[in-house]
Amino acid sequence: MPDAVDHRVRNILAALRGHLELAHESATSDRVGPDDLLEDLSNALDALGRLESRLGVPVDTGRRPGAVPPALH
Amino acid sequence: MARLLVVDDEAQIVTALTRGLEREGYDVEASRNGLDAVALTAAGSPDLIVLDLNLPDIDGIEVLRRVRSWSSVPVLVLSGDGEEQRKIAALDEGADDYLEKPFGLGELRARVRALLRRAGAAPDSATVSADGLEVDLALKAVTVDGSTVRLTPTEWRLLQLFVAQPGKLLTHQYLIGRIWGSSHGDETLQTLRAHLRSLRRKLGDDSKEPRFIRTETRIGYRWVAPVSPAGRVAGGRLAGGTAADA
Repeated sequence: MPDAVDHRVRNILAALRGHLELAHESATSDRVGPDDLLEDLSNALDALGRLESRLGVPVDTGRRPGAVPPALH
Repeated sequence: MARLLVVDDEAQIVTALTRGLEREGYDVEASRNGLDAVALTAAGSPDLIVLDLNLPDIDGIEVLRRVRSWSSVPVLVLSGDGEEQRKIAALDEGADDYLEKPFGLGELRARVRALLRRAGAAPDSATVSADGLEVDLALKAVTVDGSTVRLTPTEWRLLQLFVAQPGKLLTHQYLIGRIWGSSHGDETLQTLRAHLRSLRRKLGDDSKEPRFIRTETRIGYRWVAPVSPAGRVAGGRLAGGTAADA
């Protein structure tokens, strides 16, 4: 990875990777329960959201700002 | 059970590291800044520190410098800026190993195991047994005489602390600090006692004739049953033990 990458981005990537590896472990190991899988995935989504925000990448939620549905007659 | 201190200002990393290391059976404490990390190292004597270099108050290298003035605890440094000079400085100040972010959980765990092995504090079996009690530290599962026991998070934390330090006197203040934080004091004593009573009841223990936890009047508690990795035969009941600096 180039040194120019912001250390905050590295931090968030490290966290995201950690949560995803934990989720994989939760899904494939009988030593960890389903609650752990859900928590790992929630943590991963949280980290992904922070990364998107840090990189200024908007998430397409299917809504367009200012868009108005056509009037129904 | 080895005790680890994780130091990183990024809450998401602290969460991932804590969960990943606790699943390996380690007792993990976390700090989000350098000054707390130094204080926790002095108070808790962890077996290993995972230390980020970029901290909000004092630099991670300054944390190393302060800790190394009195402790030889293994330190695994996490580097987030990719600068070679920072890694060299950390190693020169006494870091034992380093990992650059982002890193794989498997590699982190392997490096922790290697450092603990070198330091002679390899993690115990994830399952320990004591006088009919079986504790799976990874699964957080407890059985007494073959029957499953359900513990609250606080009771579980207490049990972890006891089985990690059998025979050692754990003072009220030590237990309160480890469970509720160092800002709590005597006002939390009644709460601690209530959790202890509940834990004892669930373990089938009797404070007058303790099988597991003995009350040391006005001082704290001591785990009196011999603890061994599950499957091994435990020896005789521990003697009174020595007063500890817990």
